[in-house]
Amino acid sequence: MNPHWLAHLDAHIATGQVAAAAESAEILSWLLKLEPEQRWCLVLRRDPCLERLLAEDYRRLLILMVELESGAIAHAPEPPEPCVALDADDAPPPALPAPVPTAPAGWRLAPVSRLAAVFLLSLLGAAGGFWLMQQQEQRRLANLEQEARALLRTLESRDDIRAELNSAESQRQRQNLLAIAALGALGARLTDGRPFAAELAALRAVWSDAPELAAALAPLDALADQGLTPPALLIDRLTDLRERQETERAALLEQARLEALDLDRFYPRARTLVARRAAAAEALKLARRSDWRGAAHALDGIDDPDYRAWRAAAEQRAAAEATLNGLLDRIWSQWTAALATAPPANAGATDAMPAASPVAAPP
Amino acid sequence: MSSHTIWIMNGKGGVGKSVLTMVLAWLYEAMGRPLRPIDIDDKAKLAEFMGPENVLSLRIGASAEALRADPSLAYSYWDQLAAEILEQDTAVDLGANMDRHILEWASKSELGEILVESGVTMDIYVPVTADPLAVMGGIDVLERAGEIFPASRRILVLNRIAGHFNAYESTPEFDRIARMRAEGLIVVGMDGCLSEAWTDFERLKLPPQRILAMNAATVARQTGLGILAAKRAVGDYAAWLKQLQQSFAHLVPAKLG
Repeated sequence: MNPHWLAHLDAHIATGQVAAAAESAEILSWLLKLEPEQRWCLVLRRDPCLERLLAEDYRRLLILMVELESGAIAHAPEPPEPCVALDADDAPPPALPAPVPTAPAGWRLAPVSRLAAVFLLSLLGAAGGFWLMQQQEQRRLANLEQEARALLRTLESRDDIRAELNSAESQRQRQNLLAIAALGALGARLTDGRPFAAELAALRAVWSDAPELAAALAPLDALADQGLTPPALLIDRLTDLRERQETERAALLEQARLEALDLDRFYPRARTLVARRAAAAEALKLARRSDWRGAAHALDGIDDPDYRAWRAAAEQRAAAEATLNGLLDRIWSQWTAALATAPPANAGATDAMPAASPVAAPP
Repeated sequence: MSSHTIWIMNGKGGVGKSVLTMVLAWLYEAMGRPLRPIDIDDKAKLAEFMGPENVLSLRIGASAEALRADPSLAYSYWDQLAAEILEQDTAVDLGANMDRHILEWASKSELGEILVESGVTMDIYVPVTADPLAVMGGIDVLERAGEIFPASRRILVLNRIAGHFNAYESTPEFDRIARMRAEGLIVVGMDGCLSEAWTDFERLKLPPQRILAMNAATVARQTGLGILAAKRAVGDYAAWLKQLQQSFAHLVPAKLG
């Protein structure tokens, strides 16, 4: 074989091994920043993030936990409480994938009634609607999405309900459930500011026989490769613009005070800066309430390239969120309309629902 | 200088024919014997991966109704296949359910004898996964191909992507394979690719050459992985290719002349 090809392969393999070691080091570093009981929780639940640890790093972690932190096992969060309550700064390193856990072994699931499915979907629908308003809902939605996928896999593994899932009626319901889970994943990406081409493709795959739904995703295609500017970054940028403006206004005032600036030039400029300050304050207030369209509109009168760029980014976010909210509303309507006309559940089937965690209402 | 042709076939879909064809095409090129890819598949999967300009796509050439009225319509269309095989080194990916038609055409046109007289060497690769239909379909194809192309080399590829084949020990299928092994059948294992980006690579229809040429940022962008995860995914993909190179390289005939 041409030695060049083998060398090429070996180079990729070596790069991959170095990356795997670096990734493992990042994960270990993140794990070591957690509390001991949080680490125990992740290990006991065989969290997928541990799969990327190299054997040596895993050994180091376990030695630490067993020899120094064994007492913390008693305080590890009980399922289904999350092991780690994260905000954006504490999230695992971006090198980590977003794994979907399999259903835990021995999870006993009685036949799921439509009432139970409505309950689960109401959790998803509520979280799906609230993610746009509350950044801290992002993590909860990700957990619900994972639970929905795990539930769907468990459902599909049961012979006695596979026939029900395979019926035309349940196929649509299954599609709707998958669509909501996929929309949740897409929403998380939009909030994080990460590329979301894969999530768009997943949604299109779910809606392969619903072209009108898939077509509604078209406005998001242009942004799929680079992602949206995250809300936190948008607010930071607007804050910076305001501060720059204040600095300029203060400098202008000082110049006028020292008579270094002609008053005929000072007053118009000062009026412009004061108007901008008011508009920027209004925009910042609206941006902090996640009203991106309102915030962009508040800056309409400002003819400044930096503000124009910010307005464009805010309008992109507003349009993307409106698209997602619209799709979520449609799927939710389809789901509830289908349930309203569905035949009743089998007699004698128990209504027991697995221990899914109810989502606390946002403040 | 005589040419060489490899055929990849199994009546059952989803056993990894197009993936195996892509990998063998890459391997042959790396070993200095590039193949002309030919796709006999109404879904044209190989053309999706390697680009329609690089693949000769041969369909049945007639509608289902016309074929029912006159089955020989398919055969004349495939005479182009015979011309290509005689002309140059080729890799032929037969779509699911095409093997029966192709083997019937090959039998009627006595292609086996033509190839022997022309000095064309032939390898028939039959990938199977560990499900009963795939194994049965693969064994049937191997036995039929052995009758039509007695001078060919037959290779059974055990694709372990859907599990191992332990359950087939001491079964009638195992006996049939053992009989063919006594007649020269070669059995090779093929593990599934463990790369995290495998599904994305398949979804994006990327052949090995393109994946290995992409930088980590491009892979990360296309798959949604982080940079480190993208590098690891490509490294795992390259490790899989190297494993396949070690499994299949000894089957690639040296170019004569």
